[in-house]
Amino acid sequence: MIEFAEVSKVFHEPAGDGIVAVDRFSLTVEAGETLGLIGTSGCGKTTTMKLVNRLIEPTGGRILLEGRDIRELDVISLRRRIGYVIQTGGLFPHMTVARNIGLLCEVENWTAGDIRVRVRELLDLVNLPPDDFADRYPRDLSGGQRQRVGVARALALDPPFMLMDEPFGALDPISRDKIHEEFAQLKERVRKTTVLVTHDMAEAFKLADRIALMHKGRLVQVGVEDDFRERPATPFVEDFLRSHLHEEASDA
Amino acid sequence: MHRLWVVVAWAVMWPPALAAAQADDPGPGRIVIGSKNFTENRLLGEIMAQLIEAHTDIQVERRVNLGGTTVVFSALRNGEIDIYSEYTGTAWTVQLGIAETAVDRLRAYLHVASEFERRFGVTWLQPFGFENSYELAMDETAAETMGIRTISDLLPYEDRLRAGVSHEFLNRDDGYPGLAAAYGLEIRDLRGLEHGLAYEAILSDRIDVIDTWTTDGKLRVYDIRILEDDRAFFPPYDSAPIIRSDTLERYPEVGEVLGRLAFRIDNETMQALNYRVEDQGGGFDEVARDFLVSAGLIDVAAAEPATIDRNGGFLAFLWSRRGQTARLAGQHLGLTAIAVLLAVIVAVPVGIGLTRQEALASPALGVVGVIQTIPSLALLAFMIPIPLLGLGARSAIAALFLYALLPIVRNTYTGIKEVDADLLEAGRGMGLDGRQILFKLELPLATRTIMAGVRTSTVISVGVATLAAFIGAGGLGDPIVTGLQLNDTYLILSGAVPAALLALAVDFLLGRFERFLVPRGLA
Repeated sequence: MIEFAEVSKVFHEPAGDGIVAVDRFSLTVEAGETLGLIGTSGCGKTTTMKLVNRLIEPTGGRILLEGRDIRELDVISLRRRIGYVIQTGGLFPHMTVARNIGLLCEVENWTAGDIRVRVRELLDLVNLPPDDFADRYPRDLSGGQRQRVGVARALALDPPFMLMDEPFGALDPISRDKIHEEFAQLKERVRKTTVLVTHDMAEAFKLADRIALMHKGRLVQVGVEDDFRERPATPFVEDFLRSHLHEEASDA
Repeated sequence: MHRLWVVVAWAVMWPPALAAAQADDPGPGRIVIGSKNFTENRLLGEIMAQLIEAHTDIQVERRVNLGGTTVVFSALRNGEIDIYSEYTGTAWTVQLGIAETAVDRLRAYLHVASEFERRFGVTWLQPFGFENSYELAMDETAAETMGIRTISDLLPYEDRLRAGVSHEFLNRDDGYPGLAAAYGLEIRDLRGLEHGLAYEAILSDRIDVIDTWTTDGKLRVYDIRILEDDRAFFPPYDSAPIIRSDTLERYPEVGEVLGRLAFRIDNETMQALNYRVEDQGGGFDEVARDFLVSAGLIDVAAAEPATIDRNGGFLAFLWSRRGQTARLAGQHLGLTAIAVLLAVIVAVPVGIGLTRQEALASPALGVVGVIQTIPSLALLAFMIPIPLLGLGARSAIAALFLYALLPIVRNTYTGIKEVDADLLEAGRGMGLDGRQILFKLELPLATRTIMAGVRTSTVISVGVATLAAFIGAGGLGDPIVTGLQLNDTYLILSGAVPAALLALAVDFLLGRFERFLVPRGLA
């Protein structure tokens, strides 16, 4: 369970008043739930997500992970309990697929044998045949394959939490559809408390259990697909839905 | 990382590198004889060395070709060397800084001797007997055409004449600056020129006036007119051995033995000896030995001098010196390897540090950048007075080390700054700590840029290391420096060509090493 309690983030600039990126954001992500965090670019959704693994520190409010304030936890062990997937995969180009995936096991001093077993398991999980992929370098992978490796790497230590920052944003529509299917299945097999940041409403409807829509740093509406379709909280939500779903339709 | 350590260990334990690193302090029963970097002074050093070896049990170490007066004299004061031969006129103006000209030879000698004793703890032994004064000279025919006999005769031509004088002469008070003031002479086209090249330059009509000295062996071959010093500007230049007073106290027999040389070498003898070395290809040891034998100062030496093939062309000459060249190349490589290795050990952490302390980056890069602008010879000379450095390999390594810093610091800094910020955030976000980010992400990703800096540093060092010969550190600069003195093109090339090849070879090998070091996914 991840609880946001009145969390704010103001970026202070040398001159001027500062920019409010996140404004008194309160929300609870239930254990095992996938929360889709959605909004236009610059709405504060990525900032909100990075507050959870403390890549960014809040200027106000608290975030609790399983009831404990994350500021009281050791930042390194906190992050190792939170799988992290970013848009381009963030794979390290000088390491093989196997080393990328096994890196956290390596720094946790697992034995080479245990790491090998775990890497194969994870490659199987994301539908990449280990014999074919383990020794490749990231530059030899397609966008979709990189993204799968990125997910496998985030799962290496079997963390209870996941943060995913537009993980499928850079893919072409066909690979995206395929990986959406796979991810939906994967989600059923490995239940993680997940924050999935996206600007794609269709993706959010497909993958998230619940959706939180942000606008100008504030939480505008939380709910499931029907809530948004039938009971948009504000005219902005209505607009957002219309333009984004329309965009999706014409995309596909 | 472990790959790197293997390489470091290999380089540190590499025997030639070790040999070059160990500076040899003269222990008990040893003295060190030094010399300036011109034929006569070096030959006198060799003569003194052989004489002491023949008549005492003291071991003599030779540290020859030590740059100009400043370098040799500071080496003497630091105890890096015990003995070298100096000239009264030089002592008068350079070390003692006396402005007025000394007119009387004997009074000049007595004055510098007592002042050196009092101020520097250095004893002047009895003079050799010859005087080696600075002189100005011109091509005989040209001088005749212009009707120039004296230095004053140059005055009407001061706007037209081209003068090329040795660097020391150009700057010493008893050289051009003093001369110009005394005569009111202002030669417009005046440049510094290595004396070994001066005669060729005058013959090929590239310059008109050069400086020379009384005993210059080349005066015997070239058709040169010495201009009369009609205002008696040049002070007397009697040459004598000078020795640290504490060395003399410890080894009084050295004073006695060197005393046998007193007044045994007159102007003509000295000129003839210089001529034999410079123009007849006589080795310093051979010419010194022959002189001592013919003067009855030592018995006929048993050792046969090595013969060197100069008639079969350059390649044959190079081949005949292969053993020596290999040894010098080993020394050269040793100096370079240690200097660059130390530079890597210092510069990489500094470069990393600067990426963590941005505020320091630009001042720090400025400082190492300024070091790079110091002329290499000057930097080498600065090292000599520093305790624990002194003459020889350590100073050379220190100077090369300083030169090698900038490219490595700068490339380490840039290489790390250039690492994709998204990758670093991915690393941080997944829970890598600072050390893991540095060693698993930043350094491997910056390897190629850092290695480019190391390669640049190494190639620069191989080049600059040829100057190490000036402070007695050996290397491939040795034949270059000696060749310049002797006007011996083959000898110069026998140092320069291997040095150039060495630079290419080292760069090639480092290129291979880089390919081994750069992570495969990046290649």
